[in-house]
Amino acid sequence: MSDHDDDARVPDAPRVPGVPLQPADQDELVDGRTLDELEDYLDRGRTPRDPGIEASAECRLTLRALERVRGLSLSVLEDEASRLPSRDDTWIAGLIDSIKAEVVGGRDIPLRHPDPGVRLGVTEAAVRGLLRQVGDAVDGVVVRSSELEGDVTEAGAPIEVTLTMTARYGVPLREAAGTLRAAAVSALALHTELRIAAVHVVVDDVWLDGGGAS
Amino acid sequence: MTTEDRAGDQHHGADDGAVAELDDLSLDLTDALRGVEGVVEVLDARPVVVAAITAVADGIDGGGPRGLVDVVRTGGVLTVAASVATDVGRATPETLARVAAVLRDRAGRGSGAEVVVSVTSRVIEPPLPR
Repeated sequence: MSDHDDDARVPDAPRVPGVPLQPADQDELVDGRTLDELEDYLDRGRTPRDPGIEASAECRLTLRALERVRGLSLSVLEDEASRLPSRDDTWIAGLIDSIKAEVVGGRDIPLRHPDPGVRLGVTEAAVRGLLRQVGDAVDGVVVRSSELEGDVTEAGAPIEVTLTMTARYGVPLREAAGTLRAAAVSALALHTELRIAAVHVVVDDVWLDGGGAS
Repeated sequence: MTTEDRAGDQHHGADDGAVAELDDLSLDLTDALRGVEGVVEVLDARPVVVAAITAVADGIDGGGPRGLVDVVRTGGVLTVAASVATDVGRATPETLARVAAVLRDRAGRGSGAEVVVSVTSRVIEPPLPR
């Protein structure tokens, strides 16, 4: 979609993050920006720097996610398209929908501080973005979604994490799941004070890489 | 009745000075946080409606650089809220503690007010190449 399309949908409206627009538009915007606008910005190498985008957590999370989608091997997408032609759009659309759901701040996860006049926290969206990065670092794995179950707003409450992943064909699934689980636990320990009671890893799909047989 | 002033508010007359002072403080704190170890970016911490009103006002009068740290004075209490993106390579709790220390130090300097600080990491990511 071009800028022209954006203007047509939001006539005379200044580009103000968070300003309510027409209901039909709200679902398609990330803090006042369209996905196409953010993709164009990414295409330009995030230059010239747009302070409105860079000062928005939602936009930054989306930019990271879009980078990740682009980083997926083209062969993965080609394979999806040839193997299941009716699913290729669904696969990407599902991933994008998941990303859009995850960039919304969500719950605040508290961090301890000895000074009662200081309150520290991490948003649930930041943690979900972190878990996606963790998945990116595991060879042959794509994390499709993550869930934090339990009361993350209460310090010390037991939390169960569920990561849904897909894997490249040929990747040993138990080993990949174990690596992902260990990396997630390590990242959560470094960046949060959540008490992780369990990390569940669900493998819900396998993709072919470089034309191999399934 | 307790009055409340917030950086970015649009006031007239006697309130202008107080709001301008908070605007300057917000800008100063924003710049200071950009230099804190483990902070990748300072994000807009103000409530969406306040940010929107400020952006519209900036559009009308040209607007100069503005701070992203939310600073509110209510009576003798100065409430300072910051949202940041933190470096995935460093422990976020430690980064946020450093941020809080900077905010407390700079906001409390000479103000005589009680300072309450809130810091949230809204993104954890690798630093962008500059």
